[in-house]
Amino acid sequence: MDERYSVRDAVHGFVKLNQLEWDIINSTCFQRLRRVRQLGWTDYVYPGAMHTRFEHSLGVMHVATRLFDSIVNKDREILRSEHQFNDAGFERQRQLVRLAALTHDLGHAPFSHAGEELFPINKKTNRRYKHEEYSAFIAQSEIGDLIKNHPLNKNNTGLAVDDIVSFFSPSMVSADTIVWRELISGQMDADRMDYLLRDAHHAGVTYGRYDLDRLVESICLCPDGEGGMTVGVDESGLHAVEGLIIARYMMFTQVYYHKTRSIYDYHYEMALAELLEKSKGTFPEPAKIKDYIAWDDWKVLGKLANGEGGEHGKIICDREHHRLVCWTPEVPSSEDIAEFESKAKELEKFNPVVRDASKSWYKFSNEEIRVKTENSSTPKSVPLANRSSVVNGLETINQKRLYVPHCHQKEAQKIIMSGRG
Amino acid sequence: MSIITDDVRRALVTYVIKFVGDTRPIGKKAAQKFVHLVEDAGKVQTGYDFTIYTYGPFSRALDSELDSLNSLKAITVTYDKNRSSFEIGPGEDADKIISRGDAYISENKSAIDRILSALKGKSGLDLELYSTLIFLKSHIDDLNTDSEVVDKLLSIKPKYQRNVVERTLVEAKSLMLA
Repeated sequence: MDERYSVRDAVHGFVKLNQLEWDIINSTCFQRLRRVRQLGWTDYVYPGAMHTRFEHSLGVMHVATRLFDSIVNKDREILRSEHQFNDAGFERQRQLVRLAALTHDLGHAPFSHAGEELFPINKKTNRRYKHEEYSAFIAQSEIGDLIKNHPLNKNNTGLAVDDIVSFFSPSMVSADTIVWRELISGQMDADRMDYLLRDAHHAGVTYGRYDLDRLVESICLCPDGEGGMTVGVDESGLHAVEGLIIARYMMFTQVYYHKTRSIYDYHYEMALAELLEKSKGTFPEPAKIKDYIAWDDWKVLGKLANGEGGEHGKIICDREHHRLVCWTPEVPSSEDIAEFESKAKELEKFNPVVRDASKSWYKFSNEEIRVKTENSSTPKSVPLANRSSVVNGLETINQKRLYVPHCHQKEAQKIIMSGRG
Repeated sequence: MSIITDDVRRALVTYVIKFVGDTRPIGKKAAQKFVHLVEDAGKVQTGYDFTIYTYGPFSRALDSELDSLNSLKAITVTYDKNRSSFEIGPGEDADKIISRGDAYISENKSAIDRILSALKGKSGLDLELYSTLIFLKSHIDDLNTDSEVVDKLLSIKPKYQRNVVERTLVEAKSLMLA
């Protein structure tokens, strides 16, 4: 499809778009993403981090396309034989990958992940809805007809919104798209590849940088050892993928789980609960999708400016956040956790708040990525840990932290110090 | 709302690993499948959300939990260079971690043990098939008949043979019903 439009992106340069993508971008629900910040309240620590889901969505589409093209160029025959794909199918799948990447974040709440604990409970699953489910509902209800009736979708292309949604909806699966799901949400996905570079760029740090070009060159389908295929890298990409993982590790420790940034997620959640009081303290359900879409950063900021956010709204306005007084090591042992819990008990009278790295968005864990080996007659792959002592040495971060209100900081520190003595 | 606390979630995973990996270690994929099967076939909430990929249901949160449990000595995760895979078994503090979720595990013991006993010792490929069929039955909205489930599975996992899938579906359904 003719890519006649382009947008100049801060990270990737010109991002090309066809008429269908352009029309989706101009829809009300996509424009809303201009009013949803990518990193919540991170600008309270890194003032440049004011970027939004709008530019990230364009970036994910751009990167996902590069990854898709690279895999198809290398592994076209495998895809033909294993999945019965053909040339027309590749064209269609490329477009589906682009649209899934473009729309995967439509469902984000104001200030992105920071408000997700206020999604309502799905009565069917007895769990909170996830932003991906909202993305699916929004895509189906707000742009489904646009896609179905679009002039570019009239030449037997057969693009259906359900195919797009099947990339990120937990209750849908499609044979056409499951192979590509890992490009949108997986160990080597375009989402991560974009947000690391973008967040680092806007925060003004270098921790998130890695060699995207080399990763694109080396990404491929790898045998998973059990008769299937998974997305991994060939051996030329070994050090680039190490770079990606180290970038995630550094961005997690220095930005996403920064001690001050992290406590603002708590203050925001409490303030937002006040703002949502009329709807039982949670966002509208996906069934009331128009009501949900009406919630964006502007609406929240207006209400906070009006003093509707209660005690925690005021803390955000004045930047008088709770202060960190004790913490475990990044990878705590059972003994470390027991010691932390005993300190937390001593500080109970200050109404402390505990934050846990394992519950943080963008948590850092050492996930398995496959590396395709080339020194045998039959294609094989091994986990990255087999080849990389650097990656082998990284452990999942599971740090716990305890904060107390600003006014109790000194007293709490005294109690902790006296315990140590 | 899920009632699963961190302690309960970790206790449950450690219990599963100890049950199925006591005599012979299991792989990371198998660990994923066993926990998923406890959730969807045993109907015991584990606290993890699973998403389906070409390699079957998978939870990122569980993947990182395995690393954390290794640090807590609840389980052992070692890399076998010869077999190019990770091996998981119970760790020296397994019982201590399991004891933190005693009440929840006791309450659901019969359902958990039933699933694990039925599937312990199965190959990774078999577990992937059970797990995927049960995921399709439990989560995918538009699959109404057995033949639709079989067709869907074969479309996303062409490596399996139809007769094997049909036979496994019968067994998977009986696991879910019991």
